[in-house]
Amino acid sequence: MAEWNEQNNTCLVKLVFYGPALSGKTTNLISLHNLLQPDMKGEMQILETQNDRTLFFDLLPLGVTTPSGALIKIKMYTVPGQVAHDSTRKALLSRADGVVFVADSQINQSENNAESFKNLAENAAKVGLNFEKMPLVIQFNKRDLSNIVSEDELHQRWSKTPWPLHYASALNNEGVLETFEGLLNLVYKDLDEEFSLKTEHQLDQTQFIQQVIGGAHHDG
Amino acid sequence: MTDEQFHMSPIEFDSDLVLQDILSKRLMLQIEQVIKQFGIEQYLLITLKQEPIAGDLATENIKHRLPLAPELEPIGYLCFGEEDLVLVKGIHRFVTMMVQSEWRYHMASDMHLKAIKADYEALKEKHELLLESEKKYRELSASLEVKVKEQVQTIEEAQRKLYETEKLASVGQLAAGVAHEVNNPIGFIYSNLKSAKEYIGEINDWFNTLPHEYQTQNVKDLLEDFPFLLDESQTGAERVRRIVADLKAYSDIDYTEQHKVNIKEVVERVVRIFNTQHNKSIKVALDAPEDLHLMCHSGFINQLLLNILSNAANAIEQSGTININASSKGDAISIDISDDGCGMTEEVLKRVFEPFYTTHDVGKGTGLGLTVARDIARNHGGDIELFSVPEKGTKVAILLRDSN
Repeated sequence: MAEWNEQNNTCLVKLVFYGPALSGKTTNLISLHNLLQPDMKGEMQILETQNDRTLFFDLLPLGVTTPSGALIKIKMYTVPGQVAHDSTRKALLSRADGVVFVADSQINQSENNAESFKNLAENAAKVGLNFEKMPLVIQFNKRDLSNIVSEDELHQRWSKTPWPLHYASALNNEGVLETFEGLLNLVYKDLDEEFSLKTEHQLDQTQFIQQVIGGAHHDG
Repeated sequence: MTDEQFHMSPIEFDSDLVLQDILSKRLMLQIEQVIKQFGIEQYLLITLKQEPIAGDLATENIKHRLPLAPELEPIGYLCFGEEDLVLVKGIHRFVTMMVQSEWRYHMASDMHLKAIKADYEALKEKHELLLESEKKYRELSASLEVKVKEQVQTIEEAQRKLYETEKLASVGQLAAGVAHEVNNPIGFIYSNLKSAKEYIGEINDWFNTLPHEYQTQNVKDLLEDFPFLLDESQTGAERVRRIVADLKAYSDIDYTEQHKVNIKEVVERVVRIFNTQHNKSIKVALDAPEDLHLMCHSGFINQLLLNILSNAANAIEQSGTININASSKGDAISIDISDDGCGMTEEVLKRVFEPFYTTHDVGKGTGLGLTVARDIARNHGGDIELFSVPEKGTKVAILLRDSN
C-alpha cells in the first residue's frame, strides 16, 4: 500500500507493468512518457537491457500536487518478463498499489500470457498482496498485428473475471492512455479510502486523473 | 580514497530519494573536482532544509540556487556565487546527471542484490529439500537391503521346508504302499509257517509209528531239521513285519497333527531304520529314561535324528560307536549324539549349517541335512550345536521343546 510521508507531505504510489516477455511493457511506459503531461514528469529510466529485453526494470516517475499542497508521486515500473527473472519480478511487485497486466495478443502467445498471469497471482500472494482485491487491469497489446486473438474471443474469455479488459497498440500510442486511466480509477478509490484525498486534500477522482494525464490528447 | 569513501548506504530501488543517502564521499569529491575543473572555486550543496552538505561558499554570497532533481522533485540545491549563468547551468546539468547515474546505479545494485538473495534463499531451500529427500532415499535403500535379505531367508527356509515335507510325504506314501503290499503276504506267510510247523509235528508223530525198517536215518534228519528252518523263516518274517511297521511309524503316516511321543521309543525306532541304511560295523548305544515325552510332529523329529545319525555314519570309516544320550533339561529335552569318527575342521564346522554346503562329492549329499535338522529343531523351540575335534569325533547337541 502507498505510504504517506508526513515529513515532506508526499504520497508515494507504486504501479507495476507485469506480463510475459516481449509483450510491450517498456513500450507502454515509453508511450505514457510521451503522452502524459502531469504536473511533474521525471525522466524515464531504462535501467539495463539486453537485446531489447529488460534485465532489471524501467522506471517512469511523475507527480501531481493536490490543492492541499501535498505531492502524489507515482512511480511506474516494468518487470522483466523473462521466466528467469522471477526474483526481480517479486521484488518489483512488493508493495505495489496497482498492476497493469500487459498481454501479447498474438495467437501463439496465449500460453505465455496464461503462464505469466499465473506467475503474477503466485508472486502477489508471496509478497502479501491481495490478488483478488488489488487494482488490476488487463491490456491486450499488439492489436495492430494480424495473427491475433479476436476481441470477441478475449471478451468471452475474460468477461467472467473481475478485471477490466483493454486493447492497445502501444507502439502506435493507441489504447495505452485508456488502460492507464482504467488503472488510475481503481487506484484512486484505494488512495481515497486510505488518505481521504477528496475530503482532506480536495482532490476528486476526475481531477486526479486529469492532473495525471494532463493535456494529453486522447486517441480513439 | 579510503574504503569509507566507497561506502554506500543501502538505498532501496523503490524508496524515496534523499540527497544525503546518495551523496557518498566519493561522489562529493567527484562533484567538487568537476566544479573546480570548470574554474569555479566556491560552491555550496544544501539540502531541502538549507543544511549545507558540501562546498565552502558562504550562505550570504549565494547568487545562483539551482534545484537538484535527479528523479522528480528537488532533493537539494546546488548554489554558486557571482558566476557566469551559462557555465552554472551547464555544471548544474552535469551534476544532476552524475547524481542521476549514481541513483540508477544504486537502484540496479539494490535490485540485483535483492534478486540474488532471493535466488540464493530459494536455492538453499531447494538444497535442504534435496538433502532431505536424499536422506530418505538412503534410509530406504539401506532398509531395502535388510528387507530383501530377510525376504530371501524366508523364501529359502520355506523352500527347504517344502522340499523336506515333500520328501517326507513321498517316503510316507512309499511306506504306506509297502506296508499295505507286504503286510498281507507276510501275514499268510507267517500263519502258513505256523501251520507248517504243526504239520511237521503230525508228520513226525506219524513217522514214529512206522515199522523200524522204514524209519531211515535220512528222513529222520530231514524231519529234525525242518522245524528249525521254519523257525528261522518265522523270525525273518517277523523282522520284515517289524521293519514295515517302523517305516510306517517313521514316516508318521498315521499322524498329520502333533502328538505326544516317547523319546526313547522314537530314538530306538530311528536307530533300527538307521541300521538298515549303512553297511559298516557301527555300535549304537542309547541312554534314555523311559518316561521322556515330547509334543511334536514325530515325522520331523525322526528325520532330524536320522540326518544326524547318517552324518555320524559318514564320519565313521569302517567300524565305530555312536552314543546317544537323551535327558530332560529344564523345560526342554536334550539329545546328544556323539560319534568317534573323523571329526571336522574349524572351517568346515563354520559352514555346516549353510544350505547346500557339503563335503561329499556331487550327487552324494544334498548339503541340506544339517540345515533341515536345525530348521526342525528351531521349529520345535530348540536349536542344534556342533562340537567337533578332527580325528576324534563329533558331538551334536540337540535341544527340543514341546511345540504348541
